[in-house]
Amino acid sequence: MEAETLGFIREMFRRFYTEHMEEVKPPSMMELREFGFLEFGEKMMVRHKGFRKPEELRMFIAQHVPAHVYYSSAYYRDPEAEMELKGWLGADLVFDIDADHIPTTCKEEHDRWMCRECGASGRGMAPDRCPRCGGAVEAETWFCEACLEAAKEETIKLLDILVQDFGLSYGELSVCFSGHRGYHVHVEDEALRELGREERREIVDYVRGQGIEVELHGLLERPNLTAPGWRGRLTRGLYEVLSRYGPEELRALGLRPRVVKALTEGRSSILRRIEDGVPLTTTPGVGRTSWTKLAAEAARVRGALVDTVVTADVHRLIRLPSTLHGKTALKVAEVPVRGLEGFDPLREAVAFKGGSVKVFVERALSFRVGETVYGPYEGRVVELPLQPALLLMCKGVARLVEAGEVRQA
Amino acid sequence: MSATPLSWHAKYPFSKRTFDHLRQIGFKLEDVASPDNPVVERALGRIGEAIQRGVVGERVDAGILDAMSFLTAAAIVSWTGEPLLMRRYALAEAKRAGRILAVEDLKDIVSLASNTFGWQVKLAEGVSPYEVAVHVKDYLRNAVTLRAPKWKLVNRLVDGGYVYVTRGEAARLLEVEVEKLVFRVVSDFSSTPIPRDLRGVIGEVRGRFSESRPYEAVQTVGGVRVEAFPPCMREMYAKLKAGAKLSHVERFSLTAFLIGVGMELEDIFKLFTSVSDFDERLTWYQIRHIAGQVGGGTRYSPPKCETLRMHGLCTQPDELCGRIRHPISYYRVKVRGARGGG
Repeated sequence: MEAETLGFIREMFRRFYTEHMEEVKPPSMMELREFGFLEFGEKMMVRHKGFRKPEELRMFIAQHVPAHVYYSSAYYRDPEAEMELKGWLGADLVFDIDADHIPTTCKEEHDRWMCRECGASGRGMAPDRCPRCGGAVEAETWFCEACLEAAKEETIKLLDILVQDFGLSYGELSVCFSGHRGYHVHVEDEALRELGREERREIVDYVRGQGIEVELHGLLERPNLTAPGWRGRLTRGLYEVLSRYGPEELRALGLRPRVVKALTEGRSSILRRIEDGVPLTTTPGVGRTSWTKLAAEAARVRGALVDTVVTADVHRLIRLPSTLHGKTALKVAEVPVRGLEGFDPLREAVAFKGGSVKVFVERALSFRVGETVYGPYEGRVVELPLQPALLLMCKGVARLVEAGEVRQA
Repeated sequence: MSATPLSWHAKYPFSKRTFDHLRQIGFKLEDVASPDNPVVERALGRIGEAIQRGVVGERVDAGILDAMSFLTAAAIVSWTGEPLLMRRYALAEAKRAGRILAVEDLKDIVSLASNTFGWQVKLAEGVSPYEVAVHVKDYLRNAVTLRAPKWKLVNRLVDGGYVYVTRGEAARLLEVEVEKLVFRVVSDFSSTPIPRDLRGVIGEVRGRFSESRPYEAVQTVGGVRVEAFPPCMREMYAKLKAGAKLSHVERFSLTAFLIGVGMELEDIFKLFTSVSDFDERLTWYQIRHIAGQVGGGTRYSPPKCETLRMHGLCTQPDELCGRIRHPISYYRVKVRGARGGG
């Protein structure tokens, strides 16, 4: 990134942190947390920082103007010590829902990847490894409304599981828009604080519905739409799959044409049988194997696609709410837990209002900030309000041409 | 508190209620510490059963004497200084408890779980076939060590923060707790001085234990013995300790070797993560993968000498290297030699 562009971004971040200092809300028990910062243009994180008072943290941020601000989900006796000597006391349970990990069809349009080793490339969601040579791939991602909406859907499913199954109250949960492509859910519950990585991985599998064995839930013999836990969830998932999926989608699950026919032609009677809790195994034309395939789909549909690594990592650093995301200049915005449905991240996370900046945009797909849709742009100078201009610069697809009225202000 | 029946102490000698009771009546190990004391005799019976059958017998006829014999046995096992015997004993006591609990009154199961192990637990009513509801944190802490699919959280009925289990399952989960607790009790005695009168008895137990397992006995006195490592492994180990970067082959070889000579996975994990910024999750996964606990379930052995030579990892082979073909054999020969020789 050009020095001038970088300098401008940094200046704007500095201004944000000076003007909105009080909004930076430290986490609970901040004196037991580790903080980490990523400076602009740096690859190495400054970690193992500790702060005793909110003012200390705010001063540090305002002075250093980092691109990213993180804190540990973990509590430590001595957060500034090196890792083995910190004295781990426990960690909040955190979940990361990122559009990166949710397959959405729009990714074909706006995401690309390239293999760093053999140069192979493709469109859509990046594979873990290069399909040609097995090398590491680099992803070029964009964010779009559909992706953000998909991430929100998963978050809503997660919250439901946490409240119903894990018995957590809304007061123990907090949700943030990550400032880029997803949401973070924090659970501050004393009972769950001491869980180790294995235990957390089990929770991840639970919310994702991974490794579920329908036989163990008695689903085929006793479907029940209102049962607690996964039996009810699987039944509801089945109901959804059967009422929504057409023959094409059913075939894609690996069902035989004969079974697909039985399911589509007998749809209403099958749905009624599910409502009445009639054993699925007595359905004419649909055998156990087919039901198991359908149930697997039900688990996929009803599970919440959280990141598997973040939750299991008991030393994880996560973004501090109300700070800026260095790749978007959007705010890590707190979401009212009960108001997630109507939350609009591209409005609520706006950190910079007004302004006018000229930037040269190399390539940008269309995107929305607030109420306005911008782009697409390719290889030209555009004059934009501060937030969209910063967003493109932070994403590395635009450079500063003229700061305009922002500088003088 | 209502009086605790004597049978409780005999059944659950590790329980908080029993510990409190023993403290109340002023039980001291020194008072029974002579070879012909019936408490010591019973204690030796417990240890013998642990060594021979892997489970301590379920008889509960001696009331508080049984509880005393448990503590005494724990002390004797600790004083042998044999970590493997300590584990075996803890497991054998846990199995005993599991058998008793499987047919125990529900209210006693719940009482043991909450008073001794601090579980948040309640009776599950009207949720057939389940009888006990265990808080998810207490469930997970113990269930993660159990492998069958039915123990996976996603395969359980979880509702309102509780996991629903049958009586037998509750007993199995408690068994895991008991094992950990007994191991702690045993470990805690290691700093207590050994009563003179029991030295002979302890020597006998040690002898019986090593007879029962002629080969493995060499592995662990205070973990593995670095000085018995072959030169190649010593070098990789030193490199790792010095914070140098190991190649993939080196990392794999050393890990498989350490697992092979009986180092605890947790300790290997600590070794790797303490000296460098290895990705913890990945490291833990890789260690368990090599140990065969995840993935395909195959436990990997370290490469044989020939392969190590091919990778250029065979450095400064010594005289013993000429006689063996595998790094683990080197270690075994070396450790056995050190024992036998003095």
